Amino acid sequence: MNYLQAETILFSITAVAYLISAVLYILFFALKKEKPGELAGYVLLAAFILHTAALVVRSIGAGRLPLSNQYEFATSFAWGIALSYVIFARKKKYRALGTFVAPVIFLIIGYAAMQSREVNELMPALQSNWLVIHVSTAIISYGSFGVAFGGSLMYLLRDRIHENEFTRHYFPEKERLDVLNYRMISFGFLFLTLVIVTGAIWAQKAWGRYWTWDPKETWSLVTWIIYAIYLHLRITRGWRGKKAAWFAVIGFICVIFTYIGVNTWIPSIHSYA
Amino acid sequence: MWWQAFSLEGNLPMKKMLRVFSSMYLALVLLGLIVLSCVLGGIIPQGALPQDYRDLFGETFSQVILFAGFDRVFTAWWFILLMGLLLINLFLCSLIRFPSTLKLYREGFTLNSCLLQTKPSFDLCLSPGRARDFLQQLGFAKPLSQTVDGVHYLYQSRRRLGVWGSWLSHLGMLIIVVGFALGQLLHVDTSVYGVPGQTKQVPGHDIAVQIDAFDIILRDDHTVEQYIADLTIHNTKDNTSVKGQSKVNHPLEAYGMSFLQNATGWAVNVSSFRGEELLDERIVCAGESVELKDLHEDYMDLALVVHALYPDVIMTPAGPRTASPHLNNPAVLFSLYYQGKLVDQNLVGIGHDIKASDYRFVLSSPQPYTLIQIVSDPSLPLVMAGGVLMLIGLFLAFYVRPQQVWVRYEEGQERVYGYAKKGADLFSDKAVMLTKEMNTTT
Ligand code: HEM
Repeated sequence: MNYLQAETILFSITAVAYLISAVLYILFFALKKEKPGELAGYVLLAAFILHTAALVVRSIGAGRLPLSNQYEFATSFAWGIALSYVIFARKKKYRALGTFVAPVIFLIIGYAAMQSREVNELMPALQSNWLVIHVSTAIISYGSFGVAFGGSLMYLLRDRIHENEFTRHYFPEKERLDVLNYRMISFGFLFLTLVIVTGAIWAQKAWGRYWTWDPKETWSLVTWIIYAIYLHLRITRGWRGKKAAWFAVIGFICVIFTYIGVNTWIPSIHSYA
Repeated sequence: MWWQAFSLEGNLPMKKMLRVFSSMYLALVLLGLIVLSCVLGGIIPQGALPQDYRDLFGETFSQVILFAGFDRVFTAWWFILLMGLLLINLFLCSLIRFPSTLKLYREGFTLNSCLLQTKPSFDLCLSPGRARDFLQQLGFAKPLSQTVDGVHYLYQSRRRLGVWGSWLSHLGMLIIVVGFALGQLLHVDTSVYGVPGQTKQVPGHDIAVQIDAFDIILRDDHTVEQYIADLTIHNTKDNTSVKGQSKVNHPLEAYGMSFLQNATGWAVNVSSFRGEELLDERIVCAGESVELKDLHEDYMDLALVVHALYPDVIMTPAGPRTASPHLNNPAVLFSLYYQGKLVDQNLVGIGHDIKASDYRFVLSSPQPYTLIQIVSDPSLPLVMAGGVLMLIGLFLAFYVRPQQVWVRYEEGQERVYGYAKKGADLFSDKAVMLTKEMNTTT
């Protein structure tokens, strides 16, 4: 069995595990029973470990980090969200957050599964350490925006459901959830800034110009400014809670568009086709 | 102080203007408009031909696009105006926030400032004698003591530097916008192309590029691993030169310019004959032509255009293609014009003649040429400095959160207070946990 076959098997099990975890989380939420929620947490952790193994195997097989084409970025992006979730939000108190984050991870993994899994040799412009830093920071940034997105959906929903024993146990208090979302966004914002700066340095080396208003650059700027507006509104107008949550949702839609929409619909030097 | 001129108080029209132009409200409006412009510029293809917009968007929409300049958003006057306003806004808000930030840095962490704090992040009671231990465990190892109105206090602050975070990040952004604008005005972006042995003058500069060697490193599957050009850059003004290599992602730096390996294509040697007399010999890149009349007015008005070179030609129903990038079976697609009229168009193998009357063109020595892009941007260091400041500033703003604590010695107990503008919840959680631990262990 070669590395690619091993990765394919690991990836398939990972995808199924994320799906099971998402279903369990939804059951937990719908039935308000503790058991599926607890189980979902373990399954998600197992999926994350398998996912990490799949990425490691692919890296060894390809002789480089899996950061270069649509498939590789999608699977790494989902991994980034899982990582952020595992680090920041796996506490029991935040368990219900899984109901909102696990399906997002599964959807992105599903998108990855639809892409070509071939290991392509890199064209010269993509052989750069700056690319590795650029894309790694993007995974971290997008991952934390992904968790903030899940957290914001949860916040918006929490506003609509009545306080009961279940919400008291597994939903963080509203203020805490709002602050958690803010923390994820400021972390993501710092990293998105790094993504843009390292991308600019790489573009300067590869194409001689650090900023050319290429669609991908422009969309990442849109995302960056939307989150900057969010941060400003929080400070000056006290836009916390619901309005902030809506902003985080819009921000993440921009993230997804920057990543999938631009590559699919708009010609760009960043489309790896 | 000089900055009092920038105080926002007062009813003078100047002050009102200053208030508007330095306000965060304006910043939000501008950022909103810039986002909208970027969305337009990120969706509508930029710099295409009017016809392309008609095909893509229909007659009415394309007219709106062309009229409003949505086909060139980032150079449109209204976009430049928005960026100019943002620049003024950033500049004024940085200027105005400097004194208050400095004051906060200098005076905001004294005991006095602590005592003025009406909403501390926590307010806890400790058993007597535990205050220093508590502060140490909370990360405040060397508190100062002071007595105010007969009451004894211990106090300390940390991560004061954090107050500069947001200010520095905005200064960084300001520098980036200024640098970008300067770069738009001052940057050089041109190119030369040629084959090994040729020296090309850089248009408009005292710089010439001599191509010493050019290699394309191929992998087994024929994909390109790297393009490598060995160059000598001559400064024709002071007769000095610099030798070096330019690869994709690794430009050669010389005389304040970067020489980038940008593109490649095929070139071929074309010898022009009249009978047996050699009229001309030169290297022609794909897309170039040889025009005999330009060489001498007596020559026949013939022009040979070299359209493309296929190193390993195969014929397909869709036309000629190359089977590999290796020079196994090279052929050239050409057109021949006589007095501006097309007289011949064909594919010809290397070494075969292209004939017209008693003239003939002989193609030989196909080889790849390299296109070297030459760029310089004197504002690059400024933009880099802006980027670094912005990142440091953001890090300080988000992760170096100033905190202060003070202990009031009361009869029978020690009362500790803490204040943090940002991250107050975590700070207070930690203090509460610590107090619980300490109070249970006594
Ligand atoms: C490119 C545009 C801008 C970006 C990306 C940006 C970003 C930021 C960020 C990240 C913060 C920190 C938020 C936090 O600590 O949670 C902030 C705060 C702030 N920004 Fe901006 N900003 C921009 C433009 C402006 C402009 C033009 C002004 C001028 C009025 C402004 C005024 C402020 C103020 C007053 C604060 C609060 C500072 C504090 O409380 O420490 N910003 N901005």
